[in-house]
Order: sequence, then C-alpha cells, then structure tokens
Amino acid sequence: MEILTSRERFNLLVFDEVPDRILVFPLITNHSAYISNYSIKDYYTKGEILAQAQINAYEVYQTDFLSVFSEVGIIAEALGSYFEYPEEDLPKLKKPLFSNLKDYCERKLDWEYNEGKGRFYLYFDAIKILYKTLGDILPILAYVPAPFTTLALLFEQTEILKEVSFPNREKRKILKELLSLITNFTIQFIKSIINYGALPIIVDPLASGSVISPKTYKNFAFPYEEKLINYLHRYDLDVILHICGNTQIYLKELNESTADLLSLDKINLISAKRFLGDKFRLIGNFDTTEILLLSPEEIRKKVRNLVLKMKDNKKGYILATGCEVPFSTPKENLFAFIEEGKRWGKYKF
Amino acid sequence: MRVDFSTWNELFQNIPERIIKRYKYYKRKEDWARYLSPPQTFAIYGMRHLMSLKFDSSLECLRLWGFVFNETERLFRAKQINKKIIAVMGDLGGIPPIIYSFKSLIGFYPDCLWWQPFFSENYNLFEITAKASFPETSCYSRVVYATFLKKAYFPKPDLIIASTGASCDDYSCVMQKINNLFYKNTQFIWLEIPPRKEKREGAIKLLKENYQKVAKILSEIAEEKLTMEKLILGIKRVNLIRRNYQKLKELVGRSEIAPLGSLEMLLLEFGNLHFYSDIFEWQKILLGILNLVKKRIKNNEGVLNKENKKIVWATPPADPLYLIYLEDNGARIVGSEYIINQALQIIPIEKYKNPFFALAESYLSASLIGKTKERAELIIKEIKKYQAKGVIISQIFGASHCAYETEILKEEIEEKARVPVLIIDIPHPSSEIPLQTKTRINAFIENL
Ligand code: SF4
Repeated sequence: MEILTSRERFNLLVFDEVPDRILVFPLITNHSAYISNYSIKDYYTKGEILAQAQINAYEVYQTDFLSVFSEVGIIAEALGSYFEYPEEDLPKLKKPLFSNLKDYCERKLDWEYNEGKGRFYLYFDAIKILYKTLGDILPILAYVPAPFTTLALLFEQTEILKEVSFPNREKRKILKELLSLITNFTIQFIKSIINYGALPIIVDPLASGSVISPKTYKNFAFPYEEKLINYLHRYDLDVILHICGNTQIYLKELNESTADLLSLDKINLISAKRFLGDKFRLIGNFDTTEILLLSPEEIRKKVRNLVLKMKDNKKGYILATGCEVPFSTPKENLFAFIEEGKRWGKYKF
Repeated sequence: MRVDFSTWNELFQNIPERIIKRYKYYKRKEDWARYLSPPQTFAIYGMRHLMSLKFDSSLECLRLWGFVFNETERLFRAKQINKKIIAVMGDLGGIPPIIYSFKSLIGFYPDCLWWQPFFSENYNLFEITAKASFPETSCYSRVVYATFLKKAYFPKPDLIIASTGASCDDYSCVMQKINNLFYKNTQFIWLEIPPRKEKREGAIKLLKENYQKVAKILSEIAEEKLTMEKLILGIKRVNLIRRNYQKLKELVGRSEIAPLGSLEMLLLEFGNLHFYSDIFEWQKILLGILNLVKKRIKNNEGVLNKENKKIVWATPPADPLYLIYLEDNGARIVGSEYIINQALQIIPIEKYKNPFFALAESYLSASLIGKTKERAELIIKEIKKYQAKGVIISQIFGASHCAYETEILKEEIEEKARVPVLIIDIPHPSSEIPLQTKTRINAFIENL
C-alpha cells in the first residue's frame, strides 16, 4: 500500500509541494468499457455503466484520477445538435443544429440551461456514483468541452471552420455573440458538475493546432477558454486545460492562459517545459498510437525517458497520455505505462 | 438562514469577484492566500461530508468555513514563506499565546485532525493506524499519527510539543508513537501537566517553568528575543479573541431564537485553540460573526425555530452531522463543554507581573486535569446559565479517557441539575447517522 492516496498526492501538488511521486494519469475513458465488457453505447448513455467501468478500471490499473467523459459533443447535443448512437462506436454528429451562420441568425433558440438537457444526466449520474464510491481517495475529473469545440459541433464543420478562419466584421460579431451564449451555457453545466463533486477539466480538441491557426485560436477559442477558467477560479479550483492534437504552433498563446495545469498532446513536451514549466503544472504526453501499438518493453523505455526528463518541472508534472487511451489498448501496455511511471516518478519524500 | 450544500452553490454565484478576492490570510497579497471558497471547493478536494451538512447563509460564515477548511493549505504556504511551524499536542490552550507572540511562528494542533476521516468519510487514516498496531479500542484521535506519517496534512514541524502527566491516556499513546517517528530529525519536547488536585502553587510553578522552557526554545527557533512586552501583547491579543468568543457564546445561548447554528459555534469555539493558524485573520472573522449575531438579535432573526429545545452538549462529537441532525429535529445547543475549557479563559495578566504565571493560572481551569465531578460542575453551570432542558454527551467509540467518565457525569448532572442526560456513541465515519441513534435522539428531544 502506498502511503498517500491519490487525493492527498494531488492536493500536495496543487499546494506547490512535492508529493511521494508524480501522479499517473493515462486518460482512460471508453477503454474502461472495453476492459469491463460493456458496450460503448451503454457506456455513453448510462451513467451507472460509465461509473462502474471507471471503478473497474481503477481496480485493474490503480491510476490517480477517475474520468467522466463520453465525447466532446455533450454540450452541442444539449443545445440541439442531433447525435446518433451507434452500438459499438461513440455518438456521431448526425445533424448539427445550424447549417450556417445565416441559419443561426434566422432562428430563435432556447439557451435556457437545465440539468435534464441532452445527455447531461450521464455525467451527473456517473459523478454521483463515483464520488460516493471512490471520491474520498481519488479526484474525479469531468471533461467539459470548451466553447469553441461546442461551436464547431453546432454547425456543419467545414462551414464553421471557413467562417472562423476568414470572418468579416459582421460575422466576427455574430460569432462572438454566439460564443458568449455557449460560454454562459457551459458555465451552468460546470456549476452543476462542481455541485456533484467533480473537478471540471476543460477540453478544446477542435481548437487544436491541427485544425485552426494561432490567429483563430486567439480570436475565437482562447478568450472563451479563459472565461471558463475565470469562473473556476472563483471557486479557487485548480484548472486543467487539455488541448489535443498539435499545439506546438501556438505555444506563445498557450503561455498566456491562466489555467493552472496544461495537458498537452502532440508537442515536444520536454522542450515545452522550458517555456511553460515555470508557470504551469504540465500533464502529458505519451503518444496514444504508441500506447496501443508498441510492446510493453518499448513503452517502459519511453515512459522512463519521459518521466526522468519531466519530473523536475518547476510547477510539477503529471504523467499522462497525450489524449484518450485507445479503446482496445492491451492491458499489458497500460500496466507497463503505469508501473514504470510510478517507479521512475518517485520523489524524495 | 441555514442552507444546504446546493443552495450555497447558488448563493455563491452572487458574490462579486472583488469580495472573493478581498479575504486573504497572513496579510498576503498573492492570489494563493485567498480563502473565501464555498463548501463545493472543499468537497471537490475530498471533504465529502460537506454535502450532508447545513450551513449559515451569511458571508461572515462563508468566510469562517473557507478559513477553517483552508488550514492545511495555509500551513504549507506558511512554511513556503519561511514561517516556522510548531505542532502543539495535548495541551490545548496554554502554549499558543506564547507562539503567537513571535512574528515568524505559526502554531497548530494536529489533534484537531481527528475530524479528517469524518469530513472525508474515509477510513484510510484508520487503516494506517491499524497497521501501526493501534487498537480499534482507542480514541479517533489516533489518526493524528497517520497524518504525521503521511506528511500531507501539514508541513514538517520545526518543533513538536507533547504533553504528559495529567493528559489524556489515549492521546498519550498517540504522542509517544509520533515521538518515535520523529526522534531523529525534529526537535520534540514533552511538557508535564500537573493535575489540579496538586497544591495550586506547585502546579502553577510547574506550568510556569514549562512555559518559560518552551519560550526559550521558541526564541531560538524564531531567532527572535521574546521580551515581556511582546508576550503581554501576544496574550492581550489572545484575550481579545477569548473575550469576543465569550460574548458571542452568551449572546447566542441567551437569545430567544438561535442566531447561529451549533456547527458554526463549534468551529468558533475551537478557534480559541490555535486561531486556525492565523491569529490576525481569525480575530477579524470572529468579530464579523459577533457583529452579525448582534444584528440578528436586534432584528429578532434566527436560524432555527423558536420552539427548538435548549440543550447543552458535552465532549465534541467527532462527526458534525450529529449537530445538524439535532437542530433539524427540534433542539438547539445553548451550552457546550468540548473539553477545552482552558482555551476559553481570560488569561489574568493584570494579576501577575510575570505573564508566565498568568498563563499557568489560566491553564488550571483545563477540563481534563481534575476530578470528573469538576467537569460535571462546568456542564451544570452551562445548564443553569442558559436554562437548558437536557444534556447530550457524545462518546468516542472505543476511547477510554474522556469516555470512561461519561457515566459519572450523567449521574452528577441528573442528580444536581435535575435534567435528563442522553449518552450517544459516535461510530466510525459514515454519511449517515445509525437509525437507532436517530431514534434515541428524537425520543430524547420529544421528552424534554
Ligand atoms: S476525545 Fe477523549 S479520549 Fe479522545 S483525545 Fe480527547 S480526551 Fe482523549
């Protein structure tokens, strides 16, 4: 038995203290359904299944966080985009709420928040169970899509990406108004999550450098991420911002974020440490393809290298995968990742 | 108004940012020194019990809750800004006035961490103590050993002070085990506490010598000379807090409608011990609540029904849920004897030239250094003062020291004060009170 629970370890990290070891956090989401033999559809439509899958994953892997996440459409769906639910795949955007900005301007919308909208129940039911079962020893992270990602899922994606990339003055105004409405709605969702005992983690995958330019990020993603972060800071919570994909091209913009922990994906984390490490606790960023495909031995070697180079990050470091652990990742690979992370991530305590 | 967990989340939305950022500890300006957070913040960091409690809806009390629950972080921050941390165990009241006479010292009571398993509804600390061979049949305060081992609840102290002699037997074992843990690296001193039955002069002399010894060591640690003026100033500051608390307790106990809930009162009473590690901020928080209570009394406002029956509670319930349950079911707590009588007394500095004598004299009123009958007298005094209709004594399941006197207390109180006494056991941490205990509490209140 380790001397600290994951909660105690995380608390020390956010107090700027050095815990017994780094926290280890492969982003296990629907992979927990895989090892539990649950259908993916049950996982993303039934809170009790999502919770049980996470509990099972914890029992198998002994990671330091629990994750409540299905896919990034949760808010867009609550706002009216239509998703279909395949049996063995994640929800798919079937019909976005709007076809284009003109369509948005012509229609009146119901932006009123309530907890019964869309699949919000999935999160709340899962958080309640997880909090009651393991909330004393493990932090529960609930993934909240940031406004830009939700915006992209309210429209035909190619349409909206065109609009945000080359907006004229009028369209910029409309986009900003829309993003503000999404932000307010998202804040209400965050408020509920907080009330059930989970720590919201802001995810903005469609604001990735693989999808948009630094300029678009600065104009349409960053300011709204910041509004969510500010809201969470009112509670004095430590805010995690996760951006998947390539963020190398807007490191400068990221450095202006007021988040406390940055979870990064496709980036040279070791060199990013020099630039971001004095300000942020860094989380990342083992390649998710590698965790799926490499042998356990290769994984061990790479984890060791990453941990030894990152564990001295000034504001602290959490070993994680760059993004979600792929659904059918072999258990042995995750065991190798976690064991090695814990072994090399020890501090003098 | 008393509100539940979710309602506080709603109310918190209306608090402007400038107010949230206004309250900081250690007179610091940095953002990390903020503490005005709603119960949700602490629940997210693991304090699960908060979801079942009820809270006063005032800003003053939000400040109180935020401050109390921020203490662990505050202690780590204290160390980070080069303050020296002094852990005081067992004495409960006599040493902090000396510690807080130094600029760079912060004193705290690890003893108070016995609440931790209850607030987090978690057994981990008990599991650790079990591994270290603590028996199940000892006080919950044994978890303090586990908190020392974990180093996650407070930074490594620069000095640990423990007490022996007329001290709690259960806690004495805990302190001995902690002593073994820290033998090599941390300065650890034992102080002897005399029993009250010893000749008064002898007891005062021993305590005075103890305090002088502590002051000398503290002076070395702080690298600061402790002049008599500084000590007197420190004691005056403590007296101001104790006086304000006394006023508050009287106002709350005597008012027709309870202007403050019993859980907030318990937090305030325990604030007399070590001021939750920041005496200056604590002073302001207490004053804010005192003014709030005065205002409420003037406006005839309260947090409970007027009909709630008055009772005195003896021995602090390790689990705060019991206080809420009691209030929800028709009672109110007007008086208390939480075994820290020594921390509630005004230190008589006017009476002595040497302030160490004053500290020693005030310590002689300690709850647990005399006969059980004397503790019963303290409770009876509270009953009479506030015209209470009954007494509840909570026992720690498996504890020996204070628990073994419970039956004697009951006999004394029933005979001398002629009010019924209910004894309840506080079981291990849980999100619910056992049904049987609920029934007993309900029946007791009904019959008052
Ligand atoms: S509650 Fe009683 S047994 Fe426990 S430490 Fe205090 S005096 Fe000792």
